[in-house]
Amino acid sequence: MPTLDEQGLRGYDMTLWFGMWAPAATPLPVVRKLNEAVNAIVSEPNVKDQFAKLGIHPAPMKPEDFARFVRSEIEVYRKIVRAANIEPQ
Amino acid sequence: MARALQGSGTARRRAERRARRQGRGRCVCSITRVFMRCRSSARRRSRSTSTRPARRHGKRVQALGGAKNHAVVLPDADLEFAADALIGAAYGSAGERCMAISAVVAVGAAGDQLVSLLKQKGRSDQDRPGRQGRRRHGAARHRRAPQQGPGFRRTRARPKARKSWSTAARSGMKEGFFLGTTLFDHVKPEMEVYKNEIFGPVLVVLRVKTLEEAIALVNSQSLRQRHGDLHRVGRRGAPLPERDPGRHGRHQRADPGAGRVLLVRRLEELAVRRPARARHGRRSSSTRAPRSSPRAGRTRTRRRPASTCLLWDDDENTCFRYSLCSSPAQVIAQEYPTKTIKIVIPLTPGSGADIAGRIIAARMSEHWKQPVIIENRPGAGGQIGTSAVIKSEPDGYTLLVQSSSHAANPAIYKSLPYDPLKDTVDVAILGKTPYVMVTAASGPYKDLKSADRSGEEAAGRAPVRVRRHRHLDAPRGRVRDRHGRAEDDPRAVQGLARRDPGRARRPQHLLHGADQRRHEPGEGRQAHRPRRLDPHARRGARRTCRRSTSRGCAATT
Repeated sequence: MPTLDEQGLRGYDMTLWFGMWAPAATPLPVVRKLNEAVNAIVSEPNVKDQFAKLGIHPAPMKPEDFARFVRSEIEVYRKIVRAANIEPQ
Repeated sequence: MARALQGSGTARRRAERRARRQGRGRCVCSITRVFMRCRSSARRRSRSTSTRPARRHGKRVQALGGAKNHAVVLPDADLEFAADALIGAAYGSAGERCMAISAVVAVGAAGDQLVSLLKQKGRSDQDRPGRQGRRRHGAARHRRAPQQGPGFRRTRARPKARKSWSTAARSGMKEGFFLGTTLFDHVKPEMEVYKNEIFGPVLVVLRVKTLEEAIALVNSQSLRQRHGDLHRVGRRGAPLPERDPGRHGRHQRADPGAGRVLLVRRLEELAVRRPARARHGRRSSSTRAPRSSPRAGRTRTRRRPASTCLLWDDDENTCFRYSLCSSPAQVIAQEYPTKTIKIVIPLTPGSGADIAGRIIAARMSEHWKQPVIIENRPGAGGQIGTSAVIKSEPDGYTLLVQSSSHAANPAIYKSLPYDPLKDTVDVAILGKTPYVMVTAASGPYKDLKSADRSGEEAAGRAPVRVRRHRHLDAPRGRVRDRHGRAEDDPRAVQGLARRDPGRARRPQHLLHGADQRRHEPGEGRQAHRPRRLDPHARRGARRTCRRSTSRGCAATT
C-alpha cells in the first residue's frame, strides 16, 4: 500500500489515537504509576494482538511526552479547522 | 473567659461517681449503630458513663472520652503548611466537639516560628456566629454547650503558661459565643491545661528539644488518643517500614506504645508544583507541560515542598493519614490503588476508545487486584464524560479514556466547559490508529491523484471518503448518500433506511462503487454487500497488509 507521502501528499500526518487522562490535580506519583502500568499493558503480547485486530498500534510514551504530543495535536486540529473554514459550533 | 468556663468539673464528677456507686449511669444517647468502640485511652469515667448504661439497654455507643491528640512538629517541617493544618485541626470544629489536635509539641527551633505563624493565622477577625456572614473558624463555644474542662480555671490561677491570645468576648456576642480561638505557649506537662481535656478551641504548645523527648512526652500523656475517628489509607496490618536514621524525613517510628503521633515533616524529594493561581480551587497540572509549549510559559509556577502528615500506630502496626492535612502524594502513590478505579469513557460502548479502554481496564484490574470499572457517558462530542471526570476527586480513582477528539474539541467547539490543557493531566497514550483511504475495487480511482481530480470535478460528490469506522449509535454526521444528499436530508434518510437499514453498521456501503451501480428495485440486501475494497493509501512507513487487488491498484502497491 502506498503511503500518502509517496502519493504526493506531503505532510499529511493524521492518526486517530486513544489516551488516558485524569483530573488536573491528580498527584504526579499516581500519574506516573498509571502511566507505567498502561505502558506495560500495551506492550504485552496478547494485548498487542487484541489491539492489532482493531488496527491500534501501541506507542508508549511518558506522561511528559504524551502531554507534548497532545498539545501538538491540539494545534494541528486548530490549524485544520482554520484552514478548512469550519465554523466552530 | 474564666466565667465562661465555670460550672464544670468537680460537681458533675462527684455526681457521676455517686451514680456509678448506685449502679446508675448517665445514658448519653440511644444509638443503635456502632461507630467505634472505645479503647484504652479514653477516660474510665467516659467509658462507664457512656458504654455501661448503653450496654444495659442493648445499645453500644461511641465513647471517646477525653482525648488530647498531639501533633509533633519538627524543625524541618514546612512550618507554613504545618500552621495551616494545625489551625484547621485545633480550631476547625469550633469547640463544639473534641478537637482533632489540641496539643502541639514543637521540637527545637520549630517553636518560635510556628507560634508566630499560629498567632498570625489563628487570630482572625472572622470569629463570629455562622449567621453573621463568612467566618473562618466557626463559632466557638456557645454558652448553652455543656462546659467541660475541669481545672482549667486553676490553670489561669497559675499562669505559668503564656496565653498568647484569645479572641474572646467580642462585642455583640455576649450572650452567645464567647471563647474564641485560644493559644497557650510554653505549656509544661504538669499544667492542668495540658493534663485535662478541654472542649473548646484551645491549643497548647509545648516546647521540647529533640524528637525523642517529644515522643516520650506524648507517651506520658494519659489522655492521648489511641483509637480515633481518623481516616485510614494504609492497609490494616501493613508492616511499618523499619526505622531508617539515614533517611531523615521519611519514616520515623515512634517508640512502642506511643499511641499516635502526628509527625509533620518535610519530604525533600517530593516537590509538587502548584500554580500561583489555582483554578476551581485545585492544583493545575498543566504546569507539567514542557516549556516549549505555548501554554506552559503562561502559567506561573512556584515550587513548594510538600509536607506529609503520618500517624503511626504501633499497637496496630498501621499507617494513618491524617484527614485534615493535605494529601501526602508519595504515600498515596505507594498505596495506590486501594479501591475501585473508575474509567469514564465519554463515548458509546463499542467505539474505538471504549474497546481499547476495556482491554486496558481488564488488565489493570488483574495487575492491581482492584476492580476497574468502565462507565460510558457519551454526549456532546465527549464533553459530558470529560466534564464529569474533571469535576471528580483528583485522586487517580477516576480516569478518562478518550480518542483524539479530546485534542480536536477545542478547535471544533466555540466554548468548551473545560480546558483540556489545564483541567486534565495527560496520563498515557493507549495507541494510534492510522487512517486508511479506501475505494471500491471496481471504481475508477486507482490512486490519490485520480480521486482528487474526480473530486474537483464532482465538487462534493466524490465517492472517495476518508473516514474511520463509525459506531452504529454514533450521531448522524454529514455523510452523503450516493445522490449527494446529506444524511439529514429527509429524502436521503428515507432512502437509506428503506434500502439498507444497517447502513451505519457498514460504512463501506457508501464506497462500494455506488457511482457505477444503480440499485434495481427489489434488489435484496445481498446486493448491498460491499465489493472488494481497494486500499489506496495509508499513512506511515509501515505496511501491515498487502492486498492483492483485482484491478487497478496493483500498479501502485
